[in-house]
Amino acid sequence: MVRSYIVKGIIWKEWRELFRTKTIVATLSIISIMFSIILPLIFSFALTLEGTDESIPIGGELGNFTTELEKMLAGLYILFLPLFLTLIPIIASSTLAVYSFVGEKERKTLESLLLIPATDFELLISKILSVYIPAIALGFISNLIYFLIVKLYIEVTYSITLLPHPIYLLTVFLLAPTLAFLVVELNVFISIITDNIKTAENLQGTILLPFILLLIGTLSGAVILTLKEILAITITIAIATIGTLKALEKKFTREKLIT
Amino acid sequence: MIFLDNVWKRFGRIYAVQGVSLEVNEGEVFGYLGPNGAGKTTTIRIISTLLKPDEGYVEVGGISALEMPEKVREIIGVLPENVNLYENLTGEENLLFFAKVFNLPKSVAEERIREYLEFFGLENRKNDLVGKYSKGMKKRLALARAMLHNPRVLLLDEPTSGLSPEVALEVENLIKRLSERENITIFLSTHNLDLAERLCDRIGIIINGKLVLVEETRKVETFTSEVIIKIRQKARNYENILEKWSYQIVENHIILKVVNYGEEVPKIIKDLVQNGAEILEVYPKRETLWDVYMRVIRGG
Repeated sequence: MVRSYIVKGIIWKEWRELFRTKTIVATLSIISIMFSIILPLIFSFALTLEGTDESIPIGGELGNFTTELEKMLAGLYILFLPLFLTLIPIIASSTLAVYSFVGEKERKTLESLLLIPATDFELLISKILSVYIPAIALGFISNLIYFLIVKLYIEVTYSITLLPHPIYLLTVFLLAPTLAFLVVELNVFISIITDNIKTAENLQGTILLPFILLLIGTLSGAVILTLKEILAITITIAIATIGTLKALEKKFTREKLIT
Repeated sequence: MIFLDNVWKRFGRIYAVQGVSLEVNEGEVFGYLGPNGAGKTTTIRIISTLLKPDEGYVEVGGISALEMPEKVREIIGVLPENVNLYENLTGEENLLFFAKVFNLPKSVAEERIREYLEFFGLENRKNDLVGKYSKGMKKRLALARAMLHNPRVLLLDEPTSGLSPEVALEVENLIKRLSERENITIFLSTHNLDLAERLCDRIGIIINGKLVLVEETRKVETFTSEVIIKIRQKARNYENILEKWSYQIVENHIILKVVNYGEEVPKIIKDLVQNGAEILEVYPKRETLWDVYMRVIRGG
């Protein structure tokens, strides 16, 4: 059984340290602002210049949108751009998680952490949640800001009421959080097996690569996910998170961490 | 309170601990001595559940360190040689973190943190980041952290190293107070033989991973079979009187090996006085912890 006071204690410590590290807070804020504010503004500006008849990737399931303009706007703002926003919790969690154990090792605080009366699983889950919660919160806040800006822009410019599409909702509230959890786990895994932050950061790139490729594919129009595909991917990732957590617990050896 | 039975630990081809068996009683202060690389820190890490022995059994407070390591960690406080504090947290936050993970009720935690910060003279710096603390302040804070949850066993790895003499003395007094008042068991690894001599009820000397001596500190300081006679004149002048005995001369000191102190010493003194020697002092030679330690590590 996981003891909540241990998990809360570790999360409390992690957040104190995190929010005091100005560079990390600044980096995450910039990523969030870029994807949620600047990116839709750039696209909207481009749209204003180019007109609305350009070929833009449009998903097949656009619900109640009937006219070509509505479909195009929905395709752009609800299906296409939110994929960038999916990257926010993934990048954020990845940035933070990779330091979880190897960071403590380099700062020579790992021994203290290992001396608290926590089980291996309690330590792991605390470290994962301490990264996952702020990353997901940042993702949700960014999405909210993004959606409000986009909604306002479309209502003012085109007099079209934009409602959240199921694909958008599923991507934001299910796919992105599940994916972010897996990314955190994989980064914690890297953090356990590496001896220094530099090696950990190098390995971290291999985790982010598939997501970047997916994004490039989407940008080129090669990959456009349907509702069913998103659901199927989410379920697959959820199963993978359970397996990864078990593998993490198995791999977590205190002795190897300190010697 | 601490029980090790035939504990072995190997790193690669090197045996760090070789068949160590040891029992430390409740309320006892046990000094663990040995040169660098002898296996002191490895032993502490095994007791504190950071390392698992390759062979052997370890128990702390009646709890198996191998089967229930987290239960053992609940009753121990550890001061590692490198203090391992969170430098990005304040002194108070460092203590608060440990209070939280040891599940101290909020009011108890606050009271105890205040008390320890005051006791260790850190009250005025409690809101400063630990990264800005001096080495001595960090050591004091680390000691406060180790004691915060009122552990039954305190494992101290070089508690006074890197401290100024006055802070080292403070720490020493604190350890003394803890052992006397709180009945806490203290396992103290140190190079400081004077500290061990003053604080420890028993000492153990480890060399190359082997525990070669365990003895009560007061018994270590035993009288030897030698007597020292200090005279005003040059001792060399009286060598003809001493030739019946085994002796050494160092300036005006005669170090004499005797079998029967009560019979032989008065006779020698009488002979010396009759030959014009002015006796200043006569005392039995004591073997200090330092002498024993040096003899043991040199293979004596």
